Amino acid sequence: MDGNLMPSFDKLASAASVREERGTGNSPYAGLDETKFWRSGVAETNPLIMRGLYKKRFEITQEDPIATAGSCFAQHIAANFRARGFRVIDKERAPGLKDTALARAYGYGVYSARYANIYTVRQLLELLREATAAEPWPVLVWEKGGRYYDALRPGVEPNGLGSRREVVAHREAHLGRVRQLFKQTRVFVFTMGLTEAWIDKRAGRTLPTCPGTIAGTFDPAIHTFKNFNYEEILADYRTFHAELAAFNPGVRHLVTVSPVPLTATATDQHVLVATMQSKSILRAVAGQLYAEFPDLDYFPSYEIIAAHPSRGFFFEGNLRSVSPAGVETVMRTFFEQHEAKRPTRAARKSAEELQCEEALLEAFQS
Amino acid sequence: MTANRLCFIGNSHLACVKLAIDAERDALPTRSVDYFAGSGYLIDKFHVVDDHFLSTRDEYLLTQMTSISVGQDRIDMRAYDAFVLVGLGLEYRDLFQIFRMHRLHSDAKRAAGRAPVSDAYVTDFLAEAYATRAGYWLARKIRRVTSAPVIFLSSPYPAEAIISDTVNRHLLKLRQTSYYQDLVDFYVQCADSAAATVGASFIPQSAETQVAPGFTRADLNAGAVGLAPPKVSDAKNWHREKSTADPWHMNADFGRARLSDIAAAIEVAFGAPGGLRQSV
Repeated sequence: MDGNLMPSFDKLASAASVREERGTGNSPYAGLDETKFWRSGVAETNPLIMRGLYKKRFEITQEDPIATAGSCFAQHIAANFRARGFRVIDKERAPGLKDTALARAYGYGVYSARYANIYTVRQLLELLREATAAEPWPVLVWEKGGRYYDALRPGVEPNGLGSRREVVAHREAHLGRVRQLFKQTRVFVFTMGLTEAWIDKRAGRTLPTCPGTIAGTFDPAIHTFKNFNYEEILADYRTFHAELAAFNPGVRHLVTVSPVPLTATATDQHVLVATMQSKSILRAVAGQLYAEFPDLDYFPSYEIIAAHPSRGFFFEGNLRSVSPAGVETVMRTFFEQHEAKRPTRAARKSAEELQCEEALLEAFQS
Repeated sequence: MTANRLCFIGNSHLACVKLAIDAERDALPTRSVDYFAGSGYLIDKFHVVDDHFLSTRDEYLLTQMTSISVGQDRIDMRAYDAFVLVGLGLEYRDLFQIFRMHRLHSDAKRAAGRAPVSDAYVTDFLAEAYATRAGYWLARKIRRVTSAPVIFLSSPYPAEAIISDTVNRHLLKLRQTSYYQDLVDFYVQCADSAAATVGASFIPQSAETQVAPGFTRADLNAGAVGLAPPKVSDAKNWHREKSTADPWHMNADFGRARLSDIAAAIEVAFGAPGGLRQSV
């Protein structure tokens, strides 16, 4: 053997030993970057500056008309898009006011229209169908103390309205704006919040809150509990995707899962177990939607906040509300991929002013 | 009992009142009157000095204020028996702003595309709007120093001429709505209750100055006056005539009509049982 070959053999041996640390040379794991390995991607990384958690699937420009909807965590997303100069549509502006706490208390400026929180995909699908229907749907009205509420967004008028007719007039005007919104948006951002919901059997509507929480009266003969499963939620979003595309071709979707745990569960499970089941289903649906639809992107706000590497640091003391630091980390991760302006103070304030009807369930704890 | 020393603080709407008082000094039951004024919402730029003086570092405001007050560059809140705050955001324009795009459900003629707005929202909106205006801010400052009565004199309702103005043509429709009278009453109620929260009383515009609810007679708008800008302002030239295209300001005749309202409010504050002097 030629003695000159020895040094190159030594080099090969050395390279092989390095590969051995990361896996064998012909393994599909060989050569993967550090974000693909738990130790380098997570365990030895500061959760505040974790890299590569999100890679955009498509560009969202500051000129794209964006619509936002979803559970209360989605309010952060809407506020941050606005604060960073993106064109978030607002079809129902607060009369005479800009973005103030009062306007938000009446549901103005919280999302792209005044539909309040939409916790389930079924509720979203029903809203699209109602807003685009050729004939008006019956309006579901709740009463409390002589005041009247739109059962599908009871929180937007904290003091209710003066009559059933007024509720109908407000809903008709609202749906007109929602219809325009679905027609104009180019990017639809939706945060999935819950699998659990209450259904009004008589009206065939999925409710955002349990009757009796804000208004209305719970009647077990009319109101039934529904915990949507994986297949149902997936089917609902597929339908929503198809029907929105038919109404407004070319809309792209950005889907997230809210990291906020359930305030209460109506299942027979412990609330922690119910939360994990609910969020796992929603996360799995999001993953499947991402795999099926090239025009749909998934942003991992759920993982950033709720996964254990953050050690609960991003939650407030109640282990439910997301802290401003958590919101900031989520939004920074998102906007590292989408070119944005510097955030204004409005984005930071939004963390303190969420409108969350679901949290009102806490009042029922004895 | 009368107020010995009366202090007027206002914006451009003070001009017509001051002209009226200058011409008819005996109309007010008070020994002396001092005036402090600055354009628009400049009075937002007042701050409290040495616990009881209101002053400003804003040159524009200071120049106007010292012209009108004949040299006084700060207001000693302890020196007065009563305060009259004129204009300063205590106005009706907020409602017009809302009804530019919205209507109450009770408006049977609600046009397509005009989103309905709830009465509760309008109430809350007005309460919030007034609570943050310069007049209420000043009243809170005054109230920390003295229990002297504070009287709010609202900005005038716009002159009727406004409804023929292209920009404000929508007001004609508003005036024709079924609820307009209620709206005007509602504004007065909101302003009144907002005033009560800062220990003040609110004087609405009298019916005889209005041609219709919420609209001032056109003759009280002819030759409307406001404040002169600082570069020409001095003790003699502190006011200037507005263009007739300005429907928001009024003339000295309007100021004269307001004098009896102010006098009556002072009588109530100092004389009548349960008046402001007793309640603060």
